Amino acid sequence: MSIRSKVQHVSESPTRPTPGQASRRFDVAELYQGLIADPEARPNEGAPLHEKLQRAYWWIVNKGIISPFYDIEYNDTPPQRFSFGDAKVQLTLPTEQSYSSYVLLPLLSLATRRRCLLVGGPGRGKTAIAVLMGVLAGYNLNELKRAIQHGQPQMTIADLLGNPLPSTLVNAKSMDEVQIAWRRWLGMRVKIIDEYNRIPTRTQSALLTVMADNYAELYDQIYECPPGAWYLTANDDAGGGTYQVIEALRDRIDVVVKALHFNSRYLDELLLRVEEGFKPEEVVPSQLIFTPQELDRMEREIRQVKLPDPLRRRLEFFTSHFELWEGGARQLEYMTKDTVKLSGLELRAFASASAGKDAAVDLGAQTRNGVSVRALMTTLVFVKGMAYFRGEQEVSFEDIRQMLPFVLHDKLVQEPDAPYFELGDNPALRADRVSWLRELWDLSCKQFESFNLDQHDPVRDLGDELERGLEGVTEAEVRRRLASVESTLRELAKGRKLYGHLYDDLLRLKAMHQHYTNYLRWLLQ
Amino acid sequence: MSPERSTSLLTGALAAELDAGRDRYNGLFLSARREHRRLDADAVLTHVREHLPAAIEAVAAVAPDAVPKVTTTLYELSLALIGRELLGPQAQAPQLKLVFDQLLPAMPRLLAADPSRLTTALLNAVHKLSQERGFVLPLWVDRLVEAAPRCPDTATLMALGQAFAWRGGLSHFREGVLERLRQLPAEQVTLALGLREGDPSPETCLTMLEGDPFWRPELARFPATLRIVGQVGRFSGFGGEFRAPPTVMCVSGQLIAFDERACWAIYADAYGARLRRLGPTLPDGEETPAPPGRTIEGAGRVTWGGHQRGFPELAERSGVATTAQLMAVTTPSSHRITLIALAPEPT
Repeated sequence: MSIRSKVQHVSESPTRPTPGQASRRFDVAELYQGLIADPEARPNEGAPLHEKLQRAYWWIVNKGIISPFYDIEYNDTPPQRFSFGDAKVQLTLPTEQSYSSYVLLPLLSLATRRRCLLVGGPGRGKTAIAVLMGVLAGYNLNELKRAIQHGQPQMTIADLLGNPLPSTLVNAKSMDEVQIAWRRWLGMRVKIIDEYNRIPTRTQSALLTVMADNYAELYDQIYECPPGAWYLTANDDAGGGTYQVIEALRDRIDVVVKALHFNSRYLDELLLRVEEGFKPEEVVPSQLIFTPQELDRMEREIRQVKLPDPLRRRLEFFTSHFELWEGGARQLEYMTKDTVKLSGLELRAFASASAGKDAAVDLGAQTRNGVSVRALMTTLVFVKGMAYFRGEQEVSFEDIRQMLPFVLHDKLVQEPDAPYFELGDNPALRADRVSWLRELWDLSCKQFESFNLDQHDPVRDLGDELERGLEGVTEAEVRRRLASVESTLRELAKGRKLYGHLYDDLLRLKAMHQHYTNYLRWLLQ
Repeated sequence: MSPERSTSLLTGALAAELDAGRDRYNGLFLSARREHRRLDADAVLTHVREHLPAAIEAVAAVAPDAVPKVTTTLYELSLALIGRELLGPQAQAPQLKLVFDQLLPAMPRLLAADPSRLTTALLNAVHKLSQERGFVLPLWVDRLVEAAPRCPDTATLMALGQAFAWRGGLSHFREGVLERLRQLPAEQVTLALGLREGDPSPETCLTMLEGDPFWRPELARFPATLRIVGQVGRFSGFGGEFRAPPTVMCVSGQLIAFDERACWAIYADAYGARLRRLGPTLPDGEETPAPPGRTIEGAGRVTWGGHQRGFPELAERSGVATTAQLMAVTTPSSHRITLIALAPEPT
């Protein structure tokens, strides 16, 4: 109906029915449902919010913006594949509900209150999707438009944060008495920074404080921002805006999403929009708009989604590949890429240490850094968010596989000279970071399976034993465990090459050995 | 769509509103055509001319300030219905016109207060009820039209609509309706149950109805006899539920009928008998044994406590399932399920 007809109609059918929805009890209220939805209806208090999140997603995809991409693929049976061209380019037809990252990731950022960078050429709708997220969070369009911070070379800290009130500035006897007129956008739950790489470096530092610590500071005055989602846009992913983006700011961005190209087959749709002056952000159905309380509840519910232990172990294994840089130090603990980076030297100056390793196995050689704690925490949040969006109680393997590339996009820095990128059709992975990161995950999982770590993981078993606590553990038992740690180390030492996953195991075993040694010393006092 | 054409044949409140909001209504039409490419301007004009004035004029008489909102709501819903070819020249659901022609004009105050909720609810209800086999939709509409002036709000009207649907034969509504009637004042319960002078009080009626599914206020004075209270189920080749003669059983106190394709719940009470699809598989739960003293024996002789009666047509049976208040019997050569209960029978 109205713009509510094509556009504001929201299907009442479950967006992705989960098993629990199949056999519901009959309710006489069904008499008044079915054919047509009440455009003014609000969802029931306590109704599952993942359903609402999915409805919002499908409304945006089907009616809001033209994004006919399904790059986040799910399959419950092997998908059909088609090959095209001499290079045998593959197209797969997913067998399960699949999604467009360009819509899904901003939506998950809203649900998890994270920071999303939208990159892509001009005119691809980066700001439009950010504004849609603001509308879904309950803001009106005028309010949102006024709140967008447009990056430009003359942008000052005052432009960004606010100004001291002139009267208080003149009369103040101390800084405490200066009152600040804070910019309204700071108090919003959706913050949009357009072309953030055009903001001068000094102003970027002020922005960093707001993004990182959720408060703004001017003249010794503090403004606490409410928790919320951030949307930043940039025309150039590689930081090639007017100003170099400071690394700490880049590091605060949780996910990076590409605005994909316009598919020319949809020109008729575009024409219709031009002719009718259609603006999706003006016609978001009211049923899809989240209240602040719902956003809070959703964030809490997402955190409650479970990550099964076997999957957590795979994620640990994946993370372990990247930090080791064997030639960067003499002492084991310092053999990291971070050590080299802090020294100001290039990694390749120590490249000989990795010589002779299998390019397909040495995943660490493909990156210039490791995975930070912040990146890992963001990964956990987004994989839970993905599972929640699909109405699941637990994270699945595919949730991790699909979310990792968007979280690690700017965080795991590629080493384009790694031998792996010379193999077969791998050179393309230098540019296509999403596919590269997904391939890293797949290769890591293959290794995990080839080592049979689901069934046989002595380091995990020893760790579990320690986690159960030392209370009441006898001297004989401690000595047995110390012997187990040492024998595991001896076993691992038989391998000829030191890879990242082994490096983390060695450090873990050393830490365990210390625990037991210290406990034994205390026991014998 | 040309606004001149739309308003020239109209007079009164609707014409004035269309004239005042010409650009907006034209914009709404264009937007609706984005989704429904074949949305026909003439069909919309005809519908607006023939089916909107009654409701809008009724609203204008009691709440003139509500005319713009009500008009917008009815217009937008009309566009959607015509766009989906549920109304208009190719109407697949022409009975929806009852909402615009009879129901809404009878409840202008409710329409003015809650146009979107009320209209969508009524459209959905009329559509749903029109698909119920044997349901007399005009009777339901008449009852609602008669009750509407005495309804203080939309929620009450909707509760009455559910009650009328139940009394019209939708026996699976029974439990939900009785729950809702318990929350209504006696005046509305009287309306919902169609009580007349000399009938028991609303409170007594609710208690009796809750205790005995085959009790009805107007039959309260008649003695209960053992009789066939309904027959449900048909061959799917004739638009029914079962591909093969069904099997019946009682699972967790609920009578169930199923064939190799689907499983259905059996409902029956004083107002009718229905099957309601549960799904492709049997529901979870334990099979409930028949209560003592309720049997059917050779030659179709049914014993029900102290009552006995012969049903020769059930002499050859393929299955029987019984609850405390209902017996379902199947025969080998029929897709029908015969339902027997102890129920008042007017003499």
